[in-house]
Amino acid sequence: MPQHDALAHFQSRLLEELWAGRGAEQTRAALLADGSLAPFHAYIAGMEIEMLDVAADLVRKWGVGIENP
Amino acid sequence: MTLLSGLSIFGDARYRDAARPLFDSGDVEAIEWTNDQWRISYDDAETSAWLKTYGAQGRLIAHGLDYPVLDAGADNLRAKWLSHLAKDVAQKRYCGLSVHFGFSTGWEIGEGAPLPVPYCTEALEVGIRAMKQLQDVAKCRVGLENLALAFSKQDVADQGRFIAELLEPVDGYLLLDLHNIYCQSENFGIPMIEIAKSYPLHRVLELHVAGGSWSDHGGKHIRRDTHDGRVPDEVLDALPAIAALCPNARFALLEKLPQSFTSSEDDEIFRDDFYRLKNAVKEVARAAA
Repeated sequence: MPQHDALAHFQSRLLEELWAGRGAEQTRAALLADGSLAPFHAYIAGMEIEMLDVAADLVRKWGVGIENP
Repeated sequence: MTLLSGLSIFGDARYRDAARPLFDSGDVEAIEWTNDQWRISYDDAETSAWLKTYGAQGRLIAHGLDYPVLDAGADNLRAKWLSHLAKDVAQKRYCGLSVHFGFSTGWEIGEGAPLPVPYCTEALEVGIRAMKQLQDVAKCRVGLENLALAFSKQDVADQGRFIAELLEPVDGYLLLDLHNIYCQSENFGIPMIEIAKSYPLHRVLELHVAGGSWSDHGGKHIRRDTHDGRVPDEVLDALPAIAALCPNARFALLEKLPQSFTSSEDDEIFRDDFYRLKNAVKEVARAAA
């Protein structure tokens, strides 16, 4: 896939996982288990659980249209 | 360097009531207008007069919340946002327009809040293209505001050079939000001045100060950029030293969301914060002299 598609896919998957609300540890684990996100696995592995939890809060508070991407 | 102190204003009655005494006293030297609240109309003469007066004096600067600079799949959203902007800039005289670093959490304009983006070639390409498109429509200087939220220390370390590379092709300016730096300082244990120095400080045109809040996540106390509450002492204490490193800084502005005004006490705290900001700005001038 073109490079921008890889970034778009990562961003889309991140939002989906945050929106799903399964918890920050599960979010990070799900992203790391997704082979299509391999170019970003080092970045994902460095994400702090507490900050992912903050991001999930933001998505739930502000991402009102996210179920219809 | 002459640093003007002012307010990031909203066309909301709660905000106007709180800010009016500051305008009436002549103490507001510059204003910022959040220009992309397209769906929130304002039709009061007071806001219109402020925008017109400060615009004519070259002291009106704009800030957009929802332009998805680093959202790789948002070409349509960017085009939609820019079509709104084209109408807006035809009606107002901005001396600059900044948008947020990050990618939005929403799928429509007006939804979402910015999240960090990994520093990589793809993101730089997306962001540089978005900034050039913004510049083409804005017809004024364009800039970026640093983001409070970081997923890791690496995000904190990368954001300064990331923003520097996004601004370079458009000769853009940096809106350095000191409360956002404070959030990163508290959440990752890094001194504010050290974080500030990682940014292209020669590009700073505008400084923001604001209040925020704390919340607990996974047993950790996290500082959040919620634009409510009193401006922390640490933010105002850091302003003179950081501003001294920003030779082209022109504006120091206080941010507070309209919905955070719930009592007369909030109004008083807001005005008190503004004068605390003015005192910090005076320290900058004294040190420069």
